[in-house]
Amino acid sequence: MKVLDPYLIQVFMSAVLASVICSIIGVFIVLRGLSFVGAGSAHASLAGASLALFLGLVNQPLATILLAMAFAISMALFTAYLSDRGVKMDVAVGVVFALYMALAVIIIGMIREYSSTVWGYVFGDILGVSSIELMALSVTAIAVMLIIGLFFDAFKFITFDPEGAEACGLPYKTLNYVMLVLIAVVTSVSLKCIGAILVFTLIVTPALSAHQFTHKMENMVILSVIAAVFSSITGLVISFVFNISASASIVLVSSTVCMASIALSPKRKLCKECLEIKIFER
Amino acid sequence: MMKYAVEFDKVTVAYEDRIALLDVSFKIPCNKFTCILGPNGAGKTTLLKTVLGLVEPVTGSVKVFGKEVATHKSEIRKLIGYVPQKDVMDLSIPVTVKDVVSMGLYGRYSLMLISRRKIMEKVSKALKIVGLSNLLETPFSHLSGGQQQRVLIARALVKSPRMLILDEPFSGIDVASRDVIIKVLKEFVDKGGTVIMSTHDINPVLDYADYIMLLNKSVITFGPKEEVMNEESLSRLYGLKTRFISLNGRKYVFIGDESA
Repeated sequence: MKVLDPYLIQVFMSAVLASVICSIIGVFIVLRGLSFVGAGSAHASLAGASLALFLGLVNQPLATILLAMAFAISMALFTAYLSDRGVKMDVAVGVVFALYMALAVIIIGMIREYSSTVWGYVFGDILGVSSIELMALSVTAIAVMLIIGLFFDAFKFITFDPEGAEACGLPYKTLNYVMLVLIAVVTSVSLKCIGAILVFTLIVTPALSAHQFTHKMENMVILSVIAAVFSSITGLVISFVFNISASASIVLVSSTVCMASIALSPKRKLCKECLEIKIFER
Repeated sequence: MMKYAVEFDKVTVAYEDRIALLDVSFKIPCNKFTCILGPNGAGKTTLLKTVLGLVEPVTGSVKVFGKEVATHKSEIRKLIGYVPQKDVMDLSIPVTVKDVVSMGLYGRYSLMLISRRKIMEKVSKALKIVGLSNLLETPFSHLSGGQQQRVLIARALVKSPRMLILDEPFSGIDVASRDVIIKVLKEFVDKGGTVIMSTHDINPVLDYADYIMLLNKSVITFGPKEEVMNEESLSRLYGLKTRFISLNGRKYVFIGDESA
């Protein structure tokens, strides 16, 4: 296989783009404790993608992505609706997650053909990513970077102090809905690359790794992207060398990086500066 | 000149089936230091949130600087610096002191429309007021409770508000920080601002507050400190014996202490 093989470049580009968008959005998911939303969203996407296959749209990746996205967005909005009405976020996700998973199970059970394609959406099939799916990843990456870049300060504020942000005049509910929709979009376009079960790891682990080394949210985003891109490229190379599942390999590397980061985190050592401040305070 | 900063007219607030405030009416004058005193669960935080429009009343009307909160929410929020209870914030969020203070500017200005230099000027000025200029780049989570509270006050001051609203600013902080906060609030009032503060411990501000409200779901009494602060009113508020004593020229309140 040539190193500059266009197919190989497409595979690596898909992995890098999926890891970039997952790791950026992952920062807000980890800090706001929305990990369960990411998992629910991925499974709702699976229901949407399965429906596309059931309807015979197997050769129409754009239609599949849009259906997956529609299911994931509806799941996110339904969750936010329940949360706005006083249901705790984790409970709301639990209810909606189960609902969409049940739908996915029923639809997958009804699909007679293309069972390997379905498994591609469950566990990821990065080697089977089409140029249209790569295009969708690219457009999503641009949109995510633009939205997060423009509203980074606002998202930072609602993450740190939602009540203070609302009292300052920030549209907390709107920003919250935007974030949930972004999570839904990111998980649905990454579905083919990483799979419904594993995409959740690529969202959470790079952000968690980054959190171990910085006290600034801007740096956390940068470190999260670096960890995710490193994991996806290393994971792909390992999968080619040992002929194992690419998405599983990426997730294994990402999880290892995360565990190493937690073990080596300077935040877990006694902070001399903190101690000095506290002694001074007394 | 505006006479009242906040006006409540027969306001009732409820969370689902639980009443938090019942038929509350009062008028808080401008340019005064007002303290809201009451036991836990008395509705102090709810009252402050109602002023900000974060909680909507079931009945009654709320006006801030003469404008209905229900219809002028965003306009009113630009005029108020709010210091929420410190413990609602997640200290694991990676933000620095500079980040936290500049957050106060978001509502008043679109941050994209003002230069970084201008933001830094305003942030530095606010931090100077609370005496923490040297901690600009320090992670917020590395600060002591008292320093964190001062940073949150700097965040409220950074947009040059007409009114400061503080929810239990003295809980879990050291005496030195408490004294700095009282001094900052007093100076804010001296310069023409209005301060409304909830507290369950009146002693630290007994010398500085102009008006006192005793609240327990409904207003028990509200007025100038000299008229309101008496043993009878406080006993009604807490359902316990209260006594005033003077020590080194300062007055102190003891609540529920038979031996006082």
